[in-house]
Amino acid sequence: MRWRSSLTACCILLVLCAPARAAVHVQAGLLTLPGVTAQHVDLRLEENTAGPPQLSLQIGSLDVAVLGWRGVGLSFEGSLARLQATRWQVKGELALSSTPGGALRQARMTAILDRDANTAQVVLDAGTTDLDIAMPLDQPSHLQIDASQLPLAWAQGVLERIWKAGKLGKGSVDARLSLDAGDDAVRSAGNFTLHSAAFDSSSGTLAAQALDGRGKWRLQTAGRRSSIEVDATLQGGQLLLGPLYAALPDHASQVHLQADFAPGSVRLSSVRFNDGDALGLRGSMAFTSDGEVTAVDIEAIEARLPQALQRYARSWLQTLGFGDVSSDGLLSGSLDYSGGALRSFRLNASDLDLADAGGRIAVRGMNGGFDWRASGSRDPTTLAWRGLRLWSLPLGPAHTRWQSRDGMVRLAAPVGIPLLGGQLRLQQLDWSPVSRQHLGVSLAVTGVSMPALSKTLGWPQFQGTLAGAIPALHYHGEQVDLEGGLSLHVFGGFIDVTDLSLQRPFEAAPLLQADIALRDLDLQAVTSTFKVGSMTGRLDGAIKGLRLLAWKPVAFDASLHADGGRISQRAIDSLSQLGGGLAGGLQSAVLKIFDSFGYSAFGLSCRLQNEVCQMGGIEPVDGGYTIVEGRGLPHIEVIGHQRAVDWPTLVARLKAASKGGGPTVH
Amino acid sequence: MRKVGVVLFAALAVVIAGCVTINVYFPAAAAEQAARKFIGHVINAPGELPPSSSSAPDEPSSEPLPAGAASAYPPLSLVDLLIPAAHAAEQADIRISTPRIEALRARMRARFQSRLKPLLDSGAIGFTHDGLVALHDAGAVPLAQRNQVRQLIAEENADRKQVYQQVAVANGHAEWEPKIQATFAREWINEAHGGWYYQNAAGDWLRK
Repeated sequence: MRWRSSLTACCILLVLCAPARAAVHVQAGLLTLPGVTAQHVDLRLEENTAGPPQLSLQIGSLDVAVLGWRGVGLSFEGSLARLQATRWQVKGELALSSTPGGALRQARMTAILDRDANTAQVVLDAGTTDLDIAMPLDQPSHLQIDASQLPLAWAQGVLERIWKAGKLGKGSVDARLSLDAGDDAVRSAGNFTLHSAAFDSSSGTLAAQALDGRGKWRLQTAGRRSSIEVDATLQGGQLLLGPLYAALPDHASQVHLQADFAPGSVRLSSVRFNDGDALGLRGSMAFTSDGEVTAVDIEAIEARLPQALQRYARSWLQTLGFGDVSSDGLLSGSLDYSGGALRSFRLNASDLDLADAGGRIAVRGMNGGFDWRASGSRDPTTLAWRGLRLWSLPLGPAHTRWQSRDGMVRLAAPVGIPLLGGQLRLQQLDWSPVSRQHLGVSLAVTGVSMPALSKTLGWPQFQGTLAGAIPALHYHGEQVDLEGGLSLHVFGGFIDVTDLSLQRPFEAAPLLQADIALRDLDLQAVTSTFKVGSMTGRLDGAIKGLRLLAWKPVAFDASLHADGGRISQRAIDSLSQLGGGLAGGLQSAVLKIFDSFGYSAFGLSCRLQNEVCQMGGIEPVDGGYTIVEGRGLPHIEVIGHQRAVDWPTLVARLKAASKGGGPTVH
Repeated sequence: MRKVGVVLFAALAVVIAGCVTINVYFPAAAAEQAARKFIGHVINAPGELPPSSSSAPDEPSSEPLPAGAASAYPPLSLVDLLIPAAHAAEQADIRISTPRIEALRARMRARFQSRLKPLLDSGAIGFTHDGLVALHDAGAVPLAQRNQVRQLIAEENADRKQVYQQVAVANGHAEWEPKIQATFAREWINEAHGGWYYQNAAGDWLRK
């Protein structure tokens, strides 16, 4: 191989140096040089009476390893002129075919070969692209290249050699570089200016568009490994690095990048970025060659909001469902993710304001943060805010202390947070950012104003206060469980919610289960709140085994009873909607004279299953069940006839009743 | 004679054993039909009929029930709206109407109409041969939206896998899940609109 290469070189030199008197015709089946293989070579040099000798070179298939060329066709037609004793000029039209990106399909070539100076200089003019290549004659693999407006796509072959999944797109580059290419190793260094450059990857996870900038690089490849170091100033454009999408600002950003390419992986072993007014970043990242993130180590990041969120976090926030976030303040921190798990993170806020347009979360004046590590313990941190709004619950100012130990972030001391005239007291809070996002909370609520809460949540106006304790709330990926219960002090009595659990909270059909007990409620307050007429008396009852699927009741066993009072005409109408019609000895016309009636007992039960409600009352009677037992005169009795009621229909009727529309007494 | 008796007894035993082993065959035709209904509902815009099915149009039938008949009435569901009661009864071998499946379907339909359809139309994503969706041409998605599209694909696939599992469970045969998934996979591709991309069994992308 080696002797053949040198022989080939000699041959070419012989041909070039031969006096151009007669025709020379050299044909070769195979020519090899370090890194270059040519097949079906046909070279003719013919005397021309009218001018310099004509040179014609055809290569059927040319492979140039460093350029990633395979099977390129070459055709050159031109002339050979002797400028001085040892200086020759070759000038003519060069046409290449099957080059990556269609490089040099048509170009004017001028080459000057100087044997004494041991140099060859090739100037290529291909429309808007100019290439100036210089090399020593005895070492044609050592090149100095000056390129202007080189289409990026022409370098596709070079990129594929380094990174198989990479695809160069639109844009062009001006570059001045040196290139040392061997069979197996390439070294290159130089300066570049990018014009609206784009690249992509087969999976689309590493990509850039419309990048403008200038900088310098150093590239080394050995075998199938390459490393490239880039220092650049970028101006504008978009960049996608796995989960991170950046819309670069129009002013200058400084980038330093050390990238190592190996079969199957791309490692950015050193990344430094500073865009001047929004983001400073130092760290490293690793990807599979498909662009899947395998490791991210951000040693330090400092972000100034809102610019940093708008430029670098918008796409990420959108994947979390936060499309529109307004922000202000400063965020700094660090993060280490490797081996498929988060190892540590530190986050520190300074005068941070954040508000999600969807109204789910808003913080005002937040300072401090967390310092978490998967193992061992860290120094405690503080986190304080002037205001915090979760969904629509407005929480007052608080100062909290946290500590990371054995992979959990823990509330270091109990804290009371003002909430709607009362207080939310966090006794304990453990949170693990890994292990299926475990969250454990122990909390108590005291004196929360029910009118204010109802208004906040858009409920009917409840009177009273909310109090309760949840000694333990566990959230682990799929399920939220509550030990203890909530006690609502409303309607002059109590509503106790116990055995509350929520499954699959983030899926299409979350399942909520609970037991509810009603104790000593003032019926007048209840009925006026729900606008279903008016009843007086005290109401007790229970809703056992309540199951809400996708927030709609699918099962429960409910019973309500009251021990006497008065019931209004309209309340009877409402009840008659439930029980399937009013019974009793009185004509509706007669009934209408009275506004309200005395009753001695009220009872109603519904056992919901398979969208059918099995109704019951105080006691079964012939053909139905008693719902209201009258007292005094006029004596009324409300009797339900339907034992099984279709639940959706019942809900529709109840809604109609509470809106005060339609139902009439027959 | 005694030998004959033994043989007879053995034969009888075999016959009895054969009778006792009840093979519940996967109701392929019913599953196909159920999958087609489900997919048609997800894919097609309101008022638009699935291209290859000849089902009846939507027929709201949520009239209040007569007293006493309530317990015999099946749960009201979207599938009941789509499949007239008598029609459904003939081939009720596969049940695809539980509250959970319906919630999944409603969510998948909303996601499909608002976000997946444009991506299928542009060729950015396509239907895989195993009943999921996958990225077909990342280049068709602007950089700023690529992570959302990846997320969207992950969410859709999580829901689809749940549907396949829940349909199998709802029919009392959790082990049918791969068959349900394979049935849906064929039907997604059958119901795909012209111009959408899908994978053949070898995983190559083709254009419908």
